[in-house]
Amino acid sequence: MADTPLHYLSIGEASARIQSGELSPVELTQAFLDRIDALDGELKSYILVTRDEALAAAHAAEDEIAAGRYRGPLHGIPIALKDLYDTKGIATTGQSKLLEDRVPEEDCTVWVRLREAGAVLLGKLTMFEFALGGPETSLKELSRNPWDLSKSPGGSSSGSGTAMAAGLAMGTLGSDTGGSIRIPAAYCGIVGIKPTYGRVSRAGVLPLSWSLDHAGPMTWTVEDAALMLQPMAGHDPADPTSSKAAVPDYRSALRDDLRGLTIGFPRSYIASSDVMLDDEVHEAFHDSLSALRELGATVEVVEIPSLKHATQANSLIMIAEAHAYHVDNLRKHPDLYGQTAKLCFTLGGMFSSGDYVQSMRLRSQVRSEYTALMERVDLIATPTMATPASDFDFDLLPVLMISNFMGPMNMTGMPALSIPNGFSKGGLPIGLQLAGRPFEESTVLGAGHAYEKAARPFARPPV
Amino acid sequence: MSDFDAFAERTGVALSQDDLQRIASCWDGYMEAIEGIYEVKLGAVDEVAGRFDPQGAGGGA
Repeated sequence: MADTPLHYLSIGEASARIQSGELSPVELTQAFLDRIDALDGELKSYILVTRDEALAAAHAAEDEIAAGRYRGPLHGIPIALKDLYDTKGIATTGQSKLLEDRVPEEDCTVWVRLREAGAVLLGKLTMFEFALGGPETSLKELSRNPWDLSKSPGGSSSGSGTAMAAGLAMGTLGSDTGGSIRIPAAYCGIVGIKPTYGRVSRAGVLPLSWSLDHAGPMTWTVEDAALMLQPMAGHDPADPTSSKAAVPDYRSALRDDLRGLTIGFPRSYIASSDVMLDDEVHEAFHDSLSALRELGATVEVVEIPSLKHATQANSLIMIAEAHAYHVDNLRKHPDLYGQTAKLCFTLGGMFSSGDYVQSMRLRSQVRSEYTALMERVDLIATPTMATPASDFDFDLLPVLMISNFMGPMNMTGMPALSIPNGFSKGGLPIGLQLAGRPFEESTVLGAGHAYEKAARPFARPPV
Repeated sequence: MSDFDAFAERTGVALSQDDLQRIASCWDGYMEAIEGIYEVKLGAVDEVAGRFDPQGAGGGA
């Protein structure tokens, strides 16, 4: 650890050094700002760097800690937010020309909580326009995959993935409606968790699809995800979907083995031609199952009959709700949207009401099947993405309705973690998804931590 | 006017020929992809009809 450059320390490592007085939050923040200056012209992960505010917050943290008022493991830790989290007095655009000049008058709830925990804001991160679309946005450029600049970093939390993997932030926030935390986590070789629906407030977060949107952290390690999630989680009266379920201590739930846990994997769905699984991803997944068994878990095949239609229903609900949110602006200002976002949101108004209703009925069935299944298994394991990172200039429209492993978890609201579990022969990261029962993020994080310690390939991109 | 054109026009969004062609090139695939959502069993729906919980699985506890 002593030789690890500051920008590649985990939050867990850095916070211990900050608490002991060995590491200055100002020195740490400056190290990230210098690295952003050096690398982000090419990587483009930041849409806005809040340099002055970051240094002021770092100085304040240093003073507080020196005065004996240490707030906890996020005190003095530099993080960055996807540009759909409202920040008071700091532009929040959704990476759309439509909101280019929008400066919120209030902070979103999760940033209030992270700031009160002592986190330092480095800036706002690039993303798919309004959290759906692709590489083409109406405002500024999208970030690149630091493992291969010709590849997509994934999305929609693209800059969050790029910045984490390249050491341009110590933690980031993403949002996830059909995989938008887990996709860039898998493509960029980092950890990302979509918490349970209702676990983390979405008040002050620009919506894509209100019944499917989730806010969550993206980090280098599973422990860091637990540390970030801790202050974010919990009831918020400003979000009517926020749950009052008690929030446990996530860090204390991290474990070194999986004895006593049963992990199911939907073998027939994973192997079906619908998901078009890459051979290398398949191999990495089966290696991961072996590792989970060696850690003490019981691994068994499960069947989830409605899974084969869940992605299509998730996508349809997502674009239908997005259409309802955007339709007025689409009619009045179509030129202020990038083409892909405009087409996706318009498309949401072209399906029938029957299609939407059937999708919601299927959602009930998917949830019912998962609820029954989770009475006998603790976790569901799948690959995160079917392939390593796609080309940067991919087109979302042709793949919008192709079956995947993530949308079903937005349909059910279950917590789901993506963790690196291998690399392709071309040197691109591959991800493993672990999903658990609603509000049992502790089990998901605990299993992810055990896997990470035993079998995760730790590697940083060549930047 | 085809069904596709009528659906697009109904949205009220001004679309260029290129916009329409991009969506049209995927439309048949979408229609085929969503056929499965009509396989939902009525019984599974009757249980929750009229009381959909927007808070998701386990939400609102």
